[in-house]
Amino acid sequence: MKYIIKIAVFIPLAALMFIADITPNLAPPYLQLFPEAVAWTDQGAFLVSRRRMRRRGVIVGASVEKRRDAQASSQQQQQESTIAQEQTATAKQQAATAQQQAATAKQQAATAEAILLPEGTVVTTLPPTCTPMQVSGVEYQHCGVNYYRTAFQGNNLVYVTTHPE
Amino acid sequence: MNVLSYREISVLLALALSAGVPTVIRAQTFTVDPSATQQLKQMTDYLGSLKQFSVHTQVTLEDVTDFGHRVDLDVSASIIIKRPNKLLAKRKGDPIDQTFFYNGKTLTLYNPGDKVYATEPAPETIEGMLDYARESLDLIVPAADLIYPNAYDLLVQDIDFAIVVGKTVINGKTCSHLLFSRPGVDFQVWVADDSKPLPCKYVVTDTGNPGLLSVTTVMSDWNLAPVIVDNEFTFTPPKGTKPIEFIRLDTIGITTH
Repeated sequence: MKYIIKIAVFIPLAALMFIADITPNLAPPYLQLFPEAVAWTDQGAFLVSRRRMRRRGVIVGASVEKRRDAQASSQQQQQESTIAQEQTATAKQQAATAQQQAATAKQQAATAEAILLPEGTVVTTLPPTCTPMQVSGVEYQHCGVNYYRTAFQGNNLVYVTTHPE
Repeated sequence: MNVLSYREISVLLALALSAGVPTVIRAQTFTVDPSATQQLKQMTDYLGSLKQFSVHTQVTLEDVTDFGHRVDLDVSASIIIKRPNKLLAKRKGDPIDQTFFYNGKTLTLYNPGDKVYATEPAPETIEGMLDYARESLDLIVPAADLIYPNAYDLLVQDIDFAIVVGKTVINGKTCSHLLFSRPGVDFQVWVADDSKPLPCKYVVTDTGNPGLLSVTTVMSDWNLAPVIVDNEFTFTPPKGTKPIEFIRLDTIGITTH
């Protein structure tokens, strides 16, 4: 009897182990007794993205980021599935990725041109159609409805929205 | 009903929970070999005692693409330092093509490809300038970690592990290989094994990141008597180069005048 109860306890636990291991997202909430593990993963991801952002200087105003994320996410998913399917055709895959990235960039640029960004928004690339202009001896890039000034953010070259006076 | 003892239950629970734990094997040993710290100190003291030098650095930044592929970015830099207040660093490479000037009065960051530069008044010593550049302008100057006169104290702060790994040859020079660890960071230093204990290589690893990504700096062409022309530390903008500003960490955005 004792033996049977032991098995009865052990098997569900083993099943939980399996679930927790294979499908962390589907694991029941009471299995998330592991703040360290979760924090550790999040922290790791955070560091990677922060480091990458720093290095490439991709620091975009929060408002723009959100809008772009929403737009880009569907594109991103497409991209990922495309890549999963075409793992053998490397060249093809790269071309597809590049195309989609270009499309995403275009879309983002279009958004950036049409929407007035809050002053002080920092972007790393200018929209494609900008006109350089001088106001009181200071050079601006006039892109759609926004004016940008070039600046260094740390070691990175960035563009900051501003309102010329 | 004493079917399962608490001990058995706790073992089973531990097993179940451990399934979700990422397996990072990092021994919790707290060994600090005095020979390792001593060799590190000899190197930083020696570097600190040099009035002037030039060195070439080859830096590799490890990264991971959005699709999870490992990618390395390389930057080549030549650095000239004249203590107490002159520094010139020319960097060329994938993420950055940039020259940094410091002449004791101002610092300038110049991107030749973009034809832009920014100049700021700067503190009057290299150490003061490095602090200011990092804290107010978010600027990273190559090899700054090792240039500070108190580099040793900064490096060994909070270390809980230090060993001498062994000896190896880097760019034809025999170098002693030291490994240090502190929470979140592992760093390795290779120190030339001769009367001039100069650094041969320096690797910093982010241990807070599951990929254990590193920044590797290999030093070569040490010259302790470089020909230095003082005005080369002062930036003279070439024709068509435009001044821009730094986004300071202590203000929000840029104010237009």
